[in-house]
Amino acid sequence: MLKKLIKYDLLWINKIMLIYFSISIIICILTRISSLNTSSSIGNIIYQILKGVSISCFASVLINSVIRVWVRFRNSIYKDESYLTHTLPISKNTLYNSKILSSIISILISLLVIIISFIIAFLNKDLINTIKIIFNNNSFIILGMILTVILEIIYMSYCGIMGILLGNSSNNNKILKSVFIGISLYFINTWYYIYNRIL
Amino acid sequence: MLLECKNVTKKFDNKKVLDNINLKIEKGKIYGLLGKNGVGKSTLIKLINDLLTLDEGEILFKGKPIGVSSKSHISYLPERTYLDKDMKVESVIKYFEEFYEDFNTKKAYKLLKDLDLDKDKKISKMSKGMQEKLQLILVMSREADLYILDEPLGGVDPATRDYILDTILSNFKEGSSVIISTHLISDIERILDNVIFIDKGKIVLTEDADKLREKEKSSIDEIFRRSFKC
Repeated sequence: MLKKLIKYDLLWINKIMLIYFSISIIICILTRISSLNTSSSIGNIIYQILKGVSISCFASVLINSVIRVWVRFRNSIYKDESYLTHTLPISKNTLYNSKILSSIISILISLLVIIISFIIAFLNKDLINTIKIIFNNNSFIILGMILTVILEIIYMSYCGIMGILLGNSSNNNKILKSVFIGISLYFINTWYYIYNRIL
Repeated sequence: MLLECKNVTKKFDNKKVLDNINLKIEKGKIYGLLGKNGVGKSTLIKLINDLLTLDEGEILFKGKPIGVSSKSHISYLPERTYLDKDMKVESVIKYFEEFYEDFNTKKAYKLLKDLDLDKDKKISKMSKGMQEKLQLILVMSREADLYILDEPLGGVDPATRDYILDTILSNFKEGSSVIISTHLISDIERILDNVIFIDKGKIVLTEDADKLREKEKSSIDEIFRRSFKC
C-alpha cells in the first residue's frame, strides 16, 4: 500500500513539475547554444540573459517542487480529497510515511533535474578541472556541503508540513496559521542551531 | 451484528453533536438515517468511517473497533466530491482497483456504460451530477459488507434518482447492509427495510419501515414531517 500511495503522490506532484523541468532544460540548451556565439556584443548579451534565466529556472524548479509537496499534503489530508484518503484501508502511519517519502523523492528528482540542466548549460573543460581540483583536496567537505543543502531543503519542506498540520488543528484562519507556524518553526530551529554553534 | 454503536458521544467546541448514541445494524438490510439538517447524521457517518475520533463510547464493526480492517469492508459515499478532479474516469477506476481488493472493475465499467459516462473524460470537465454518478459507481462497484451513502440523491434530477435507487438495490452485495442518509424521504422510502430517526444528536426512533407504516397508517415521509415539524 505504501508504494501505491507514493506512486500517486509522485504522479500528482510531478505532473506539473514536468512542465518546469522541460522549460528548465530547454532554457539550458539555449544557454549552451548561445555560449558558442559570445564574440559579438549581441550574442554576449543574449548569453548573459539566458544565464540569468537558467538560474531563475533552477530556483523555480526547487521552489515549485516544495510548494507542490505542501499542496498535495494539504489537499489529500485536509481538503475534500481527504474523504477518500482517510477511508482507504491503510493505517495512519502508512499514510504519513508515504507523504514523508514522496516529499523526499520529489525534492531529489528536482535536484537531479537542476544538476542535469546545469551540466547542459554550463559544464566545460575549465569547470571540470576546477571541480576536480576542489574535490581532490576537500572531497569530504564538498560531499558534506552537498548533503547539507539537500537536508536543508527537505527540512524546509517538513517545516511547511508541520505548519499545515498545526495550522489545521484550529477552526479559523487555517492558511494564515499554517504559513506563520511553518515559517516560525524554520527560523526558530535555524537560529537555535546557530546559537548553539556559536556558544 | 454487523455494526454496533455503543454510547457514542461526539463534541465540537464543548457542544454535544452526538449524545449517547446506541445503534445496531444487522446484516442484509437497508437502513434510512433520517433527520433534519444539522442533527448529527453526517457526524455519525464520519465516525463510523473513522474520519472523526470519538469522545466517548465505541463503534464496533463485526465485533472489532473501527480501523484499517473495517475500511476494507465498508464502502462510503460522502456528500461531497472527493475525487482528484485532474484525473480521468479510467484513472480513478484503476485507483480504486489498486487500493480495494473487493473492487469489481467489470461492474464499474458496466455501470459507466449504463449511466452514459465517458471513461476518457476528466472529472473536472464533468457536471456535478455526473461526478456524483461516478462516485456512486465507484462505491457500488465494491463487494463491501456495508455501504454508507450520505445524501446520494442530492444534485440529480428526479428520473436519475429512480435509476440511482435501482442501481443501489441491484448492485449491493447479497447479505450486505446499506445505510442511506437523505432528506428526500419520499423518493427513498420504497427501498428501506428499517428507519432511524435522529434529532439533536440523539436517536429518537429505530423501527422496521413496514411496521412503522402500519402502526402510524402513514408513509415514512409523513411520519417524518409530523415528528420534526418546526
